[in-house]
Amino acid sequence: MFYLSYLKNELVRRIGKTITISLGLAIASAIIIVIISTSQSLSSTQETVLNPLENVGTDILVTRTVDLEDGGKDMAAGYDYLRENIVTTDLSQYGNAGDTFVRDVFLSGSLLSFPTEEATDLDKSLVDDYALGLILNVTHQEGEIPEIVSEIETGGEELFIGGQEIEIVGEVIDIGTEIAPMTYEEEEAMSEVKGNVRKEIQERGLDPKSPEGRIIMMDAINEAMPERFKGTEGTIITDSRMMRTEDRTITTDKQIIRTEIDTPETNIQTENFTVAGVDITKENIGLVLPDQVVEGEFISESNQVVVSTSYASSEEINIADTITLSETEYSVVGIVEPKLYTNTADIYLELAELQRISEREDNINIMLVKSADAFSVEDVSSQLDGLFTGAQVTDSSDTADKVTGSLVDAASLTDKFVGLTSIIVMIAAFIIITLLTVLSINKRTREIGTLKAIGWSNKTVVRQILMENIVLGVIGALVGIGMGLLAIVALNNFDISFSAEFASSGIETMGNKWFGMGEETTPSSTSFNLQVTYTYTTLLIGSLIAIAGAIIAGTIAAFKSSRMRPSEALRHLE
Amino acid sequence: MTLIELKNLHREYKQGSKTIHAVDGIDLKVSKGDYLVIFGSSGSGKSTLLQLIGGLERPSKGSVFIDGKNIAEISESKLTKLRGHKVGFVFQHYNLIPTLSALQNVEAAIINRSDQDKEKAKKALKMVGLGNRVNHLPSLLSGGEQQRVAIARALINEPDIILADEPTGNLDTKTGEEIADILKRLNKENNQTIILITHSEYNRKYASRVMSIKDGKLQEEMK
Repeated sequence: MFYLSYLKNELVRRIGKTITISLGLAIASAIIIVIISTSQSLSSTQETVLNPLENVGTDILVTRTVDLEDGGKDMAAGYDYLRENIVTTDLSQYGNAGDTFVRDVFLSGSLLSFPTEEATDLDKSLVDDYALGLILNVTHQEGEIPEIVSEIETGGEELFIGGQEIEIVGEVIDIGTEIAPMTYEEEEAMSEVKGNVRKEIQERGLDPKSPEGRIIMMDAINEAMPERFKGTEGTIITDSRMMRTEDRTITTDKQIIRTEIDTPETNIQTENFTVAGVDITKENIGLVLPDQVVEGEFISESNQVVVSTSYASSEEINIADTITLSETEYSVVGIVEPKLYTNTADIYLELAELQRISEREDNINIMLVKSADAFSVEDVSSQLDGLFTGAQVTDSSDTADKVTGSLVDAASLTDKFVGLTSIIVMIAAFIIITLLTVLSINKRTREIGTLKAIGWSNKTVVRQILMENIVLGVIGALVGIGMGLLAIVALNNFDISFSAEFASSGIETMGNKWFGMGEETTPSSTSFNLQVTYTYTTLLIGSLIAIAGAIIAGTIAAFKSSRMRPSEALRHLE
Repeated sequence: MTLIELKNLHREYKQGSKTIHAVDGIDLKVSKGDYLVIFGSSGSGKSTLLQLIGGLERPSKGSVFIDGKNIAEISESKLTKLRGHKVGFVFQHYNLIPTLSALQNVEAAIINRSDQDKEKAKKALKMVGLGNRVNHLPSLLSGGEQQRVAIARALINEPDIILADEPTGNLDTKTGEEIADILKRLNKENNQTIILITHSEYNRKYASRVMSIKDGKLQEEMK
């Protein structure tokens, strides 16, 4: 067929033009393929990061969090917070000065423990499955016990109560011991006693409000109080009507605090890391799951642990190494890539084992709940809210809000600019390709005039020019796909990483902040290597753009050629 | 038998504010089998005249009858057909398609395409004495060879009229005469009507009729 050989000759014999135009189209289509693929990959990475709960088979987290800013309204949580984060500075209990000591202190941070049985009282029709977990911050110390220790005796001081100096009778304070409030009968009895004593005082010619009168009154009240309010065990009387008067009895703990004064230079090494107890009976839901193991295997026995990839690399831990926690040896059986970004840990072991070594038997501080279906998330959340005082329910929208960092920035940036950039690239490519095509058609004015002079119709000329451009477009599209794929491979080889930072949902290193021991634990931050993947749709879009560009340019060129006069053939110009 | 008839033919161009009368009231009858040579210097209007006869341009005024049909009034697509079937052009600069071989250049002009196109084109090239260099690109052919290809292309559709615009203008006399010989042979053997415009005197001897053009006006000359 003559027209095809003409087409082939045009493309082959004007190879420079062919290469320039099809390369231009190829570059544009490759750029668009790369832009779209990168943006899609960023978005999908962002999606898994923003919804870490889904990665661990859950949609709700239950924790018990103390709000340190609420001015201590939740007293019980406040006491638990103190209790769960105490690190004694009295090292003398580990031996004599000069001896070496090793200790692991398990701290809850602000993720307070709660009893397992309280948490698992769930409506089975709303809940598909759940897993228990315990995430603790470990302060590991070893070194020599320092010499200089001071002893401070506390407790038994005289306190001023009601404007009056009073000697304290009790010995031990047990903050948080709940005392049943006075019954009606007891209160009746108390007011009767008060009335009688007031009368007695007045009969003795004293004013009940004078210091002397008050002491008599106090003694009488102390005497008449129900046994459980008496300060033998140490008591703060808080929930009694007696508080309405100005009379209070406070007894402080009589104890000895030993501490180092101005901590001397010692060789004490402190390390902080997080450790999580995992419900290994659950395969599809949990803080870390068997399918997140990247090397080795998952925990199957109580003497096994798995470590996170980041901890393994920073501490140079390998499979079959041994980790010692609270004098118990564990063997590392696997390396995991934990996906619950808001609550990751460095070391994972069996839940019961961690409960044992951290002295938190039958306690957990995080529960993962999978609702029966998407519609029941809200019902489950409200039910979980009421499980126990201070229950904190977190769902995927809450976790998404906690993620920041370059990954989130980049993804929102590409979201904003991917359309704009693609359009700019497309327009620029169309303009350049059209200019090149029109330029080359102008150079062929005499050729086209000649074709018309020897009897070619406009239709035939236009068809020829369009066909040339369609072929250029197809070449551009194919080369563009190749270049796009190469660019994607190159991008993936470049190790472009993005970080995502997760506001911690609990574990803080309060122990360290208070006692100034050692470094902080690793902040909850994960980095993601940009792994660009492409879809056939993206490749199709890229190649269609090349072909469309060629057709647009070709149409303009063809229109120009249709306007050319056959008399151009006779122009005596070279 | 009159093949071509021009009646009061005018063609004007605007050049800035000036109007150029390139063809200024020409009347002419050309019979079938004529070999008409028109002499004229550049700017005399000879190329414009040829364009009007060949239907490459339309007149400002007047008529061009080919076979009794006024081509000044027919549609562009009919004009295209007419150019293909009735007229063959030979240009001073040969006007070959640079990316096509000699054979393909001839093939390009075939109107009624068939499987025999290549054979037809080869035959036409043989007729102009270019039997062996048919697969060369124009850039590899000499001027005379290129013009032979152009003549082959012009006669491939067996037109009644061959219009030649300075066909020997770029060739030395010897080569020019070879080309003129070919045209003369076509005129004689195929009874094809030839209108050739030139300023090379040696063309006079091939002509059956000689005219000259000056300022857009035609004048018969003695042969």
